[in-house]
Amino acid sequence: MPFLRATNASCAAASIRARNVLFATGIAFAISTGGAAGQSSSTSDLAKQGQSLATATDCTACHTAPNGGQNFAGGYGISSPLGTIYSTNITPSKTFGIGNYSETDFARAIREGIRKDGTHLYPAMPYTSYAGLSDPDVAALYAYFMQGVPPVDVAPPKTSLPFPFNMRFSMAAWNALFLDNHRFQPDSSRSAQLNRGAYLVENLAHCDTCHTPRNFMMAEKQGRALSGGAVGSWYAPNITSDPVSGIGGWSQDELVQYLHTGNVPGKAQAAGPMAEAVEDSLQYLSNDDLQAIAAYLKASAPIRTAEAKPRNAYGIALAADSTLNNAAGDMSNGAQLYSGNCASCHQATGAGTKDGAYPQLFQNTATGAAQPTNLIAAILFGINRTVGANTAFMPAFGQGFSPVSTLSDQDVADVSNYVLQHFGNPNLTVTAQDVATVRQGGPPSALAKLGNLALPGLIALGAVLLLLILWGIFRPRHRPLPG
Amino acid sequence: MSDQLSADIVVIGSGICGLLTAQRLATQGASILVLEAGPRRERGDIVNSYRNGAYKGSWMNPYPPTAWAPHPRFQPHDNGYLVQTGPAPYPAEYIRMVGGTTWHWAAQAWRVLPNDMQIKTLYGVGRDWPINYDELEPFYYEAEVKIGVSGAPNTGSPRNKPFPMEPVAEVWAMRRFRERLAVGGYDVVSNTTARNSRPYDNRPACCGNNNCQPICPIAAQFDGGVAVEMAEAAGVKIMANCVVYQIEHDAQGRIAAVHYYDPDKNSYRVTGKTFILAANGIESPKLLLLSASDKYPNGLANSSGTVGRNLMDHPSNSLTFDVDEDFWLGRGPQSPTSINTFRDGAFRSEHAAFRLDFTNINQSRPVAEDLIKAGVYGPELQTRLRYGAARQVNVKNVLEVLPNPENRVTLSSQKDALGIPKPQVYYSFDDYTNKGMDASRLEYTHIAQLMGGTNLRYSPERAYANNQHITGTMSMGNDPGDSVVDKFGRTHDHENLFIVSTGVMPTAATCNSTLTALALAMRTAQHMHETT
Amino acid sequence: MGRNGAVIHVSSSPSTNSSPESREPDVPVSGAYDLARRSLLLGLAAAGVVLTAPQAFADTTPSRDAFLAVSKLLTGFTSLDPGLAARLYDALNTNDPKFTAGVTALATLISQQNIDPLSLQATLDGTHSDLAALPRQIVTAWYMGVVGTGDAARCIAFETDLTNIVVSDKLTPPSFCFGAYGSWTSQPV
Repeated sequence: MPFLRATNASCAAASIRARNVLFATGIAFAISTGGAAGQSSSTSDLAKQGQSLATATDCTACHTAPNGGQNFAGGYGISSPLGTIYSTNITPSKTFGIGNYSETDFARAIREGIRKDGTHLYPAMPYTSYAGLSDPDVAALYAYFMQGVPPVDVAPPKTSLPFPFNMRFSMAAWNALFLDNHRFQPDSSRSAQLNRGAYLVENLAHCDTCHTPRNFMMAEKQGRALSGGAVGSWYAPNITSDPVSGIGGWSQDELVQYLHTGNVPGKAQAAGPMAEAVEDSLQYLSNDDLQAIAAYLKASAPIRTAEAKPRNAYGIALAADSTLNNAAGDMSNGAQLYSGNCASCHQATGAGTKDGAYPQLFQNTATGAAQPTNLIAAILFGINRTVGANTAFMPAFGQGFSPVSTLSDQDVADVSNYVLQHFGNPNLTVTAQDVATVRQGGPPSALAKLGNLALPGLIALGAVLLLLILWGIFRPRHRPLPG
Repeated sequence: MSDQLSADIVVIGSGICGLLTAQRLATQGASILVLEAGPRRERGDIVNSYRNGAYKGSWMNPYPPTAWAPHPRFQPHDNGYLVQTGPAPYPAEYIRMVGGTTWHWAAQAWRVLPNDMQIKTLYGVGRDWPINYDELEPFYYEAEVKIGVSGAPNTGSPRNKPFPMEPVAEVWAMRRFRERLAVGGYDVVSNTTARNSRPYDNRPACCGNNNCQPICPIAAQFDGGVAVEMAEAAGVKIMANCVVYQIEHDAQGRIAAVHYYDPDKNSYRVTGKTFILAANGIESPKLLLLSASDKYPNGLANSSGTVGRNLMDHPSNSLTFDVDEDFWLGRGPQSPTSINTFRDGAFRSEHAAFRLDFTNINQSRPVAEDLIKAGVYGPELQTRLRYGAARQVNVKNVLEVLPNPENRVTLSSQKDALGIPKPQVYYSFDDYTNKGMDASRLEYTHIAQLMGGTNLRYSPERAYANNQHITGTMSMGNDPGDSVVDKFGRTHDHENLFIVSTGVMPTAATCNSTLTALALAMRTAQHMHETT
Repeated sequence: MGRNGAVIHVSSSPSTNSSPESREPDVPVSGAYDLARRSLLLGLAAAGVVLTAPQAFADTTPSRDAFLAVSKLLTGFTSLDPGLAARLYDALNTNDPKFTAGVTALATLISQQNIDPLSLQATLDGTHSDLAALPRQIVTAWYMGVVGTGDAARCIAFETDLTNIVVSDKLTPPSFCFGAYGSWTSQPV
């Protein structure tokens, strides 16, 4: 396979909650690039290639703390269903970072999730995807982190998950089951573009980390690749080629535009972790790479999920006269909340602004999905997506400090239902409990519920693991290439 | 008494000054209770009230007064709350509501000029402030960061650090004013405003709702609603519908408690160690006068007899005319641009200084009203409406009046629904003001000429609009004989009573008063933190 | 802040030198009056029955037709939103029970005397003072979205009132977003 150019990926997959950063991490990265450029005399070509790859793999998304964290010094708290997992310091600090790692140590960490001291990483680090990275790519990344990144002698907070998940050795069993430690192998029957797309989607960009549903052991479900999964408060939708459930109805150009800008007017806007992925990483990918991702997704195995219609196929503009701003006090709570908090930008008709800066709500993937998750999350947490010179900003209505207006769970449910009924999927009904669930970071995993049972839980877990290992030994090992 | 009726610090009034003072002190560890006479409402509800209101030209349209905490309202008719007794009206449109009057400001957040603070020394008029500009500068900056201010780099107010934000993108029409008036020597600059030119502090950038007054629907400008959220996030407790009617002192003259009515006139007593009066330049002196006792027969904090006196504002006259190109005012924020070169000069010994403001308020509604009034119907109505909406512009002044003890707030013999005396104002204009107004009119005429103006409509002579910049009524000063508070905002007469308000400004200066009041409030809070 | 630059002096004689450079194609300019006239006559034909009907049946569809016909003449719009028309008509009627009879009489008068909308107010002020208040009520309802005066004034429409519609190619109704940050820097074209 040819040596990778500006490749990319998004660790935002693992960043389960939206980050509240004024400055895009992409900008922070640009600054670090400047710093690295200052050392260019001592930075090898290999390290420069590694820098492009690191932009691609978007290590900074998780390994740089928001709001002014030092580049790659870790400390970003990733709230998983099992508890908060803090990212590590991956600067070449010899005390707190990876300064003492050999290239072999480095490769083992990113491909197998095992630190130099033998401790297992949690799979918040997408090593199951990185396992497929080619040797030259790993070598380039290593060169960059050793030569191009300034060491930061700071220790990030320690991750301490509740018992039994604090027993990291259990990850060995998990890896035995779920880690396919093989390099990406191009499929000679497919085009170079599709192979490139496969490498990006499954490995470098690790789209699967979010978009493939997880089993109750938090591993990606076999045979359900890219068919959609919960990501904390958000939902990473089905991106298989299915024309109803997935992106089969999108044109190649639309997919590329979405990946490049996070915005396809009249169709979809990126929010939450996807907005971060675009902001931090995807916007910097080459057009060839974006085209490869789009081509690969369009050629992926279609998987039909719960959608009755494509996510962007619901709703029409409200007739002007039906907006009835001025009805004599008989507006529902949802209608009043919509008028007072949403209509200024999205307009009473739901059509957004003429210039498209504020999107229409009908025929929009956020309102027409089979789950209301992303609609609720957008209202609660807002949107702050900077791509190039453009910032798309929607204020948060649900957090502790919501300067525009703070809405209760019931208010968010009411306005969500108004939006769904008038502009989106009218078959959905949102309850205050649904909102509370999204507000607290999504439903806890079955594994976490099991873990809450503590000792009995551990015993049960052990039994389950044993059964799974036995099953795992006999299951087919290879994962067929979709499409 | 329940626990909640006591706090380290009790604040009366939940406007921008009271809330951000509370927020600062809460961040430093104090327990704080804010008592607000009016109700609490959400932004979306106010937006809906604006759209559903019949009097959209009135900035009070979405803020109907309550029975228990009435405030002045003048459309469709004067509700009689602010009793007028002078030759000139003082129709201040303030809001008694959680968040206060900045719910409907236009976010102009100016610093005074250094000379504004010593006009007695420099020009022989008015009075000097007890502090100078340099003492206030760091607190100006603190306030600017807190509320997110941007503006033109040089309008005569020195600064040690750049604005927190770039100025808001220039409105096309204002660019044309700038370009065409430059020929006549006018320097047209971006206003200094608490309006976001980028996402700031979780609030969005302006998107041109053109509704800064009476309500920004998206909080792109700082307002009372944002102050509420900030204060509560810092742990401040705000209680609505608590109409404070008496401040109680002990034998030593320290403040011991305040008493409030709920809307049903049940009375409650709230104790605290320190008290901050922040109920605006009219309601605060009203409360001090109401709290008269045997020991203080003229009211609290009033040994000087100056409480309520020296009432000031920035009166305005204006010129409306049709410009000779299509401007279509109403694209972008309402108050983007002004001329600041008449704010200082030797002339200040003779006549008032002023700022000139260009409106960017959508003109279609006032134009349509005028056409309907004139009986213009049919296709001609549409044609002229479009013409007026495209061409009609307005320039007005914001003019400094001098402190005059006769202009004052007192207690009326009329009572409100809870039986509390209404505030009463006596107000008049002097020649110093009138001469400044005449000087402004000369500039308007010149400006209209440069803009190819036709259909010139001057505001009536000697009748000036009120800008609700209520200043002077609780003036700060070093001499307890002619001022209410000291240079840190502490009342001369009561060691544990502080006042944060535009009312403590000794002179009105040459710009909108909110940022200066806020900077003074931050300075007061710093002093309280250090000394109490 | 004072509103809109303090006191605005109302000119009693607005400029007649009014010719905006660009217009919405669907806003009538020349010939619109004739169209409106035809529309009025058609409306009156439909309303004709009411002119001879007993008073008790005054508040029927024909009087609504008369209202719509007069509205078109006064507003200069050849087509008006029927839903909004119904709401305004009902509100005007509630505000003043004599409105129905008045608007029917006004329609008849305009039709019989062939009165141009620009001379209508002067004609009514001079010779039909009983009907003189009606045109302003009707036009205020359509253009300002407001029915009634003083404390009884009510807002019936806002973003769909004709003032906002007439300028909608250039401006958004206040409180509704204009567009992206900075979109107001360009020349309005």
